[in-house]
Amino acid sequence: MRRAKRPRLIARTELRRRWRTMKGNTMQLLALAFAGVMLLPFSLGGVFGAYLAGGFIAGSETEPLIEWARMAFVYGWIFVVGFGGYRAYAVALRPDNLDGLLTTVSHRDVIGGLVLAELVLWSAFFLTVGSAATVAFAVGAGSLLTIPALLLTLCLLLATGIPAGFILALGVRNAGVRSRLLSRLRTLFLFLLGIGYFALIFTNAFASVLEPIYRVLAPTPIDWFGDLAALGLGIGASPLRAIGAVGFTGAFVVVAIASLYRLAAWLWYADGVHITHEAERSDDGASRFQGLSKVLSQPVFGVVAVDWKRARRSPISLSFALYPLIVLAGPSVTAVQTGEIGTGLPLWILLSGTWVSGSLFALNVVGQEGAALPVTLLSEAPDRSLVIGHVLSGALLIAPVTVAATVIAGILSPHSVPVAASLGVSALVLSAASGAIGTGIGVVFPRFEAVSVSRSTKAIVPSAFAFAVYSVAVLVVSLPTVIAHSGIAGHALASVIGVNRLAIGLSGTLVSAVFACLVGIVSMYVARDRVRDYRLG
Amino acid sequence: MTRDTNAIETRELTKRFGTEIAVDGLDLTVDHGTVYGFLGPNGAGKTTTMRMLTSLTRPTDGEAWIDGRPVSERDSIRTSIGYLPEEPPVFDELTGREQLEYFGRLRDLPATEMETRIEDWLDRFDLIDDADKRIDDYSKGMRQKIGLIQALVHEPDVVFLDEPTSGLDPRAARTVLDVIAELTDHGHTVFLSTHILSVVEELADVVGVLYEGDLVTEGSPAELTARMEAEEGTTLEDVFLSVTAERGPTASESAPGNAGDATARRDGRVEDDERIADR
Repeated sequence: MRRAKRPRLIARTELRRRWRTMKGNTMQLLALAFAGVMLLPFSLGGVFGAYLAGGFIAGSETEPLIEWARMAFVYGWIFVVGFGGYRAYAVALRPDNLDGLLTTVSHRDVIGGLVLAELVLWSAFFLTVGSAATVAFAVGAGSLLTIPALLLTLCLLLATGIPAGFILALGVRNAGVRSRLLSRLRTLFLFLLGIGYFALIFTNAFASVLEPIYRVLAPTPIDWFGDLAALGLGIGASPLRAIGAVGFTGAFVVVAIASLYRLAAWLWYADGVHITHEAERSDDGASRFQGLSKVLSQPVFGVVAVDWKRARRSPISLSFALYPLIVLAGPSVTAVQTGEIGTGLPLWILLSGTWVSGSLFALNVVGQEGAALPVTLLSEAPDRSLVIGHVLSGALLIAPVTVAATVIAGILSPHSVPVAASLGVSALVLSAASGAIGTGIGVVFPRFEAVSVSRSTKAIVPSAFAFAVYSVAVLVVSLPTVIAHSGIAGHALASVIGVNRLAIGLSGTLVSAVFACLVGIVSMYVARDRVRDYRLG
Repeated sequence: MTRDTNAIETRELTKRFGTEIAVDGLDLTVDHGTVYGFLGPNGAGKTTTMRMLTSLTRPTDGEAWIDGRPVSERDSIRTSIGYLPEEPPVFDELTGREQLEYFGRLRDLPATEMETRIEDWLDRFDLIDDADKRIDDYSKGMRQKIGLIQALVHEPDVVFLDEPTSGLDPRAARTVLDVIAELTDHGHTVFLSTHILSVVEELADVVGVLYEGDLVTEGSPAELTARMEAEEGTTLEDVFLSVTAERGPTASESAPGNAGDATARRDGRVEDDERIADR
């Protein structure tokens, strides 16, 4: 078999497998369709924008257009490397059946196939939309030579950017499997990275991160891609730099291939660090929460203690519950930037704390029992212990934090102390009741299959549908509190009704509390009935 | 460097993970056309040994050869080996036939020959009717069969099988055992790791028992049971239980025959001269 044939076969099979996986997953298909619908106007707008840009260039004599072209392609390269690297890290470098592949073909064939598969995926988008935009741009600029020049540049951008992304991802993965510290803290690093990413989005601070990278790359041959793309436009592109861009790509690809081979071998044949767990004391929970064991019945306390132990020993399994905290990123960054806490921040804390509290343990009461479900169902009154236990696990853990953070933020904000206290009551009731709200939803839309939450960890997390329904329910019951305590709406209500802000705030708290309790009680009854009558399929 | 002696040979093969010793100075010799039964309790180092012999893991110390070629030369030994890991190496999204064709192509088998072989194997394992269903829908036994065919379809000289009968019903298990016996008849070598002692007793020409990374005994099933010097009816299970018993006075005293020789040092490891095996 010719050397290139195996990577091609691996790439083709990878793409076929991914497509079949996607076809079999309604959520993924919907996401793809949604992305397509969202991208279509952008793509059409991009093509039209390219036409306008071409026309602008043709009519401009004073602007430093070649500098813009160079800068655009350097930023384009950074984009391809960044997202290519992310995809390589998260998706491409985790091939299934790696042992089977490595005992059949060389690691060079495997990494070649994986990179090729990614190149095909990227090219499918870049070279279709890119071709249309290229033609539109050339028509606008009135230069036919621009078409081959731009298309060639796009190809070179992908041919260098995707391998560079893989090299970065392989570097990170190699560090991760060799460093005990990185292995242990991988979840934390990824979480912080995610928070940082969203913080950049919310604060429009991308430029401050990209600018230094651009400054590093601008003096390198990456800057020459702009010259190649601009050949034929008559804006001062250097033919020498354009030829250099092609030569650089050839050299880069050769070096990249050698590096990919080496890094892939290091990664896939690495022993990796071995994280061993120290012997755990089985009475951890009982000794630490002795007071609780006196208050709760043994079965309920057992559920709470096990929930907390599992959470402590495998926090990554609960990472899904941190998604709501993303809504805190924007207000928190604003507070740090301005040095002031607005009236909105306590409300965001209340809302996200409530959201997390209910989703942490109570949103998949039946499913999260996993392999233990048959035994759990045969235990004494499992309906009572499971439902109440899981609700209490989240409430006892999160409600105190939510109440304290809400009250402190409320006091530091322009809210009066009584209003801050009203917010605190809301936080207490809502974060305690959200688990109850979640239980019924969780048993109606359970998930029994484990999903990968990290490279080495699988966990049974709530179904996406249950999470969505629960999120809507929590938002609805929280709405009166949010409206009553928000600056503009609260003030408007107070003016219209003719009472003070505290009365409005307390009313909002009361309405939310009644709503939350009613919905929570109904939901818990549904959960108890379902658990009591549950039969294994 | 190549050696033209044995199908598998290891010398002082050692694997350490940090301070933990998984395999400790393993010396093995497996002749061509034989079945080597590799036994040991969970965590003894069997899978690590197989991963070293299949080049998936680098040894910390020592050397190993497959068909006379060092395992460090991955590209040269890959064509000589077939490997069925404990978890069948299959892609859920492919059909059984697609899976086998994929690996056949990667192995560079000529198309017609590959199709004939795959058809034969599918027929042999009673999978013809299900060959075009996705592996997603396969039972554990069917996945195991596909994994086994995948390890054999290129007719490798040396086959490493990790629990090949796991999840198979008695009829399918019998087919697998017959296949293993036929492989050796045709000169192939089988390195068989399993917990099912009756399988080893039936098929293995030589049995090695690994315990805490050490090869604590080795020989033909008949030799091993004879060494026990116990009453009639001693089985391979008795041998296994005796040599893998907790190494301490109580355990060794309770073991029949020569098993008492496998007394441990205070550090929990057995020195070579204390092993009951004469290798």
